[in-house]
Amino acid sequence: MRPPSLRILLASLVVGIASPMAWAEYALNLPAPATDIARRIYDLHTLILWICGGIFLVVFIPMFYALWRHRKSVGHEAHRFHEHTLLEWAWTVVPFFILIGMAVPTTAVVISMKDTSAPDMTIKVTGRQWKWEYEYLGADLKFISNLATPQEQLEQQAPKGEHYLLEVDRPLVIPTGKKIRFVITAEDVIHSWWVPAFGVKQDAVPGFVRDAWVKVDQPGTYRGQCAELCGVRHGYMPIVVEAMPPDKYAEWMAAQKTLVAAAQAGAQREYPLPELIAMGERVYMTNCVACHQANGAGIPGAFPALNGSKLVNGPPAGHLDRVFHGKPGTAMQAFGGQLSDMDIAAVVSFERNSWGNKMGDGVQPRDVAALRRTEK
Amino acid sequence: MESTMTAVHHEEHPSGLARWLTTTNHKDIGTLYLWFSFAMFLFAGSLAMLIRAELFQPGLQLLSPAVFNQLTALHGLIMIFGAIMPAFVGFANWQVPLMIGAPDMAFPRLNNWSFWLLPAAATLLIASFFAPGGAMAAGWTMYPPLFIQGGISYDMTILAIHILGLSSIMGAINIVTTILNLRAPGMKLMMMPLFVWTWLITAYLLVAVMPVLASVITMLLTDRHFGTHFFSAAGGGDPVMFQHIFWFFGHPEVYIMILPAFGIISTIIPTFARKKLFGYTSMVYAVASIALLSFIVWAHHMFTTGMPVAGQLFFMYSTMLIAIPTGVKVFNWVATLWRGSISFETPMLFALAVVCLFTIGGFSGLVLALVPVDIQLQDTYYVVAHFHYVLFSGAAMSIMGGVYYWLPKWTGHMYDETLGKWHFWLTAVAFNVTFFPMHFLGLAGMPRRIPDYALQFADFNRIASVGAFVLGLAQLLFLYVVVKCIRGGFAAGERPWDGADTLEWTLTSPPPYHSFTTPPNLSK
Amino acid sequence: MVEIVRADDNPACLHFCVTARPNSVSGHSGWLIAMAILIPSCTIAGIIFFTIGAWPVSLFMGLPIVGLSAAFYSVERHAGDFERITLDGDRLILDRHTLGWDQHLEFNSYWVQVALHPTAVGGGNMLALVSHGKEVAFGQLMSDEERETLGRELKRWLAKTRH
Ligand SMILES: [Cu+2]
Repeated sequence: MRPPSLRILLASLVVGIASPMAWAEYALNLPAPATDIARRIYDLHTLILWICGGIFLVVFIPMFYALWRHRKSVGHEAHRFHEHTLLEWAWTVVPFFILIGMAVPTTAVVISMKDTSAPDMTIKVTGRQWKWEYEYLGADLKFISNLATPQEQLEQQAPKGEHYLLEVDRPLVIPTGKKIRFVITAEDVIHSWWVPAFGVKQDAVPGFVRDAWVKVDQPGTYRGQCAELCGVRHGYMPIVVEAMPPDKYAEWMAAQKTLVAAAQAGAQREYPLPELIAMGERVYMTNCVACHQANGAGIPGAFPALNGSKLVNGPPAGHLDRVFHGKPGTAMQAFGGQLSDMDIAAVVSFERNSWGNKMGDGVQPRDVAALRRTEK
Repeated sequence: MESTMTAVHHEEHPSGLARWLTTTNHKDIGTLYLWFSFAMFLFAGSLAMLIRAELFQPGLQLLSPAVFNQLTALHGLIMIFGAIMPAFVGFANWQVPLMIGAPDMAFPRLNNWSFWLLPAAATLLIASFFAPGGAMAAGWTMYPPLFIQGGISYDMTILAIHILGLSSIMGAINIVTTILNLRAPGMKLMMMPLFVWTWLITAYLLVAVMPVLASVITMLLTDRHFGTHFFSAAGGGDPVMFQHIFWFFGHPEVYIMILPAFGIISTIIPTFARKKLFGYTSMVYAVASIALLSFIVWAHHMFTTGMPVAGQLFFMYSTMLIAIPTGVKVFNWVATLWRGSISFETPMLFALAVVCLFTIGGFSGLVLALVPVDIQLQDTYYVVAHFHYVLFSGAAMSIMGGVYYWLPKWTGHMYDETLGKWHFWLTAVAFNVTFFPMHFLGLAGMPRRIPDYALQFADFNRIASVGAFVLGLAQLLFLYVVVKCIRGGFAAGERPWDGADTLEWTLTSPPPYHSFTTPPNLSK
Repeated sequence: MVEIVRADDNPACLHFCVTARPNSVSGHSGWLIAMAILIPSCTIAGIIFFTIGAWPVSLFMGLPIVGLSAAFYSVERHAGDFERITLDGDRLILDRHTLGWDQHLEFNSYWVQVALHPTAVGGGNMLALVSHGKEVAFGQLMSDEERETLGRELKRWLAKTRH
């Protein structure tokens, strides 16, 4: 009989390792699942881990026993055998059956994950360098979701917030308890839309549409990141999904519609230049700063400077055209499809009157709307 | 006699640098390969040190995201094509002719060229850091369309990989021909040491898949500059097709880097267990089946690209099958140890660590083979942990063990056993401190190839960085031990390892060689 | 493969004669096996890639077949190569046969010297005959150990003839 103190010590050790409290700082496993699929993946991973752990012991206990008992330093003489047909067959065939045991439950999960049929609603997700665009199909709502962590936090000029790098300006909002189908694509390079708590990771391939689905049980905020290397700011395109009960979701959707209408009305009027520049700085810091940098100097060899640029210091129409249509074959995107008339006008006005650029003129939302009309 | 002397061209004995440039002796070329790969190992390792320094804490401290991406891409490329593969070719050059009783490689001059292509390619890759826009930053996998966006350094990378590929193909053809044609009379295929077997199969894989790599990067080049649209949807191509072709090369490539390691381990373990390798025949079949299976598993790198459910299931099942021959190898090694007479010199320590740690990498590979779990873990640090368990504690540590094992034979001196053991323990412990926590990071959701991360990943990243610095520094100790051994030490004698002579060591000294070492009777 | 004939074995060689030939064990069957594995796998892969629109891969798949065939062909053509060194009284004769190209050199054993140079880095060696300040390398078909032994023996024998 062991002394009780040792038993208590052992028990507390086991509890200490197993208890999530003791390891709160160190996440050791997949995040808490928020969908049925994610839960099944979690369980599958746990099962496989136990099987692997078991095999590991079966193989390595004999090995370490041999290393200990059959040492030369204790005078152990080497035996001569080097073949054993039955044994060799056994360790070929037995693993095969273990693998079948793993494959059966896994296959069921694969088939469920792929079943995107009969959704309650569909959201189109488009990956772009380096932001996500969400379009609620059939609801006439579309917006872009950018990293919201300020540049100062990245460069240690401000303390980092709780959701450092995992926060966006406009999260994707979805209702709980509904089967939502995502159709996923990309504009420029391959991205990957990944929310760990949903068990969804789907590459966004330019020119092709893939799909995935979720059905979220509990309201909450779920965070993820782009998982496929997509260029300089790959680490800075997070995904935030807010799941809310269907009634709250309906309220949110109605509010969005009013906002869109208000913005359209506002784009009709004429804005004074200082107001445009002030708005433009905000747009610049969200959409342009990654490449062209806060000082407008760009990154030599990779991204051109705007400060002193011939195009920016030329006629407004050419400048607007480049922002609107982008430059094919480069990282400069066509912002006409991404930003509102208001935002494009503001950012062009800002660039023409910032750093060393002193053009003193700007572009009005009306001008952008006119350009957009000629496109159609 | 005068007339005949002038009639032929004279092969002058070269001196100085020319001796290095023109040597065709397999031992010379083997040594050059090994030194080159060690230099590249240290260089690519220092890129990894920079990566780990940046990831030591959240935020951007040392590097810009652009430079960070260049470092991760070039670390991978150089480690694979500059360090691991040339190191194994170095072993092949040294050991294959000795083990099969061939005087040299089949094509000594070709052998010389395949080596000297490597420094040229390495120079191109290193120079690309100074190109406008910096080095290639699209990951070692070079996925388009991202790769298409890059600047001049991307073309330099394509050229460098073409050169490396050419070198590999030439080397592989040389090795296949040597093994199949130049064996000592009487040496049947099933009598060859396992190291030779693993290299024969590896060389076959190389010959078969390096052209695939060459073609896929050529297609990248034509997409970039010559108006083709293989990989752009706008022109009727498909970016995912690149991944299919790349991984059709890429998965056999993984085995190209691990099969010779199996060969080294299967040489070291019997020596220090003083017992014949268990299940030689099944080992040969296991290596061959791993090589065959490697051609039908490639799409397990692409489960998240969105392939049909039948495709996912096929590649999942075929990938799981690889566990069987891999398991056979591990079981055979354990059975070789069983009832041996085991001692623990440095090569043996490395070999035992490889068996344990590679098995961990094998298990995480099995976890990743399961489609649903892979979808959670694809492109996370779990994958980074997995392939470092396979390629560092599988391939690189086998190379280290092999170097200690054959150093006495190569240099004629024993290495410093105490320092060798220090090197082993520092490497083994630091390796686990670096890479084991990455499993947890990946499970918790940290993507790979990011220069900065959310705060919840900070603790494990700090641990991994500390481990990485120790791991990096420990390799300088390795350099010191090797240099010290070359410069002198106790004479190693004919067979430094007492366990080696009774086993396949005897096979390495075939009859013709023996018949000549007893000098002919000349006193007539 | 090195074969040694001494005077007592073969009266045609007055003192002794060493012949080195390349090992050649595979011959035609090895080539057939190598190609039987390579050609089907490369063809199947080439066809599959062609059908998905990646025709350059199919072109490149021809490369290993051509390369390995050329290698085997070359080895087979060189199967008859040999290198023979004969000591005959005061003559040292070096015969070389490389793919139809024959070389026959005769040296006076009083003037010729045997040089065994270590190679650049790897602990290998090269063997040469030096006469009138000119070097003729030989022993390409031998291993380092064989060259070393042969060099040592030749030196010993030449020293004896000069007595
Ligand atoms: Cu992305």
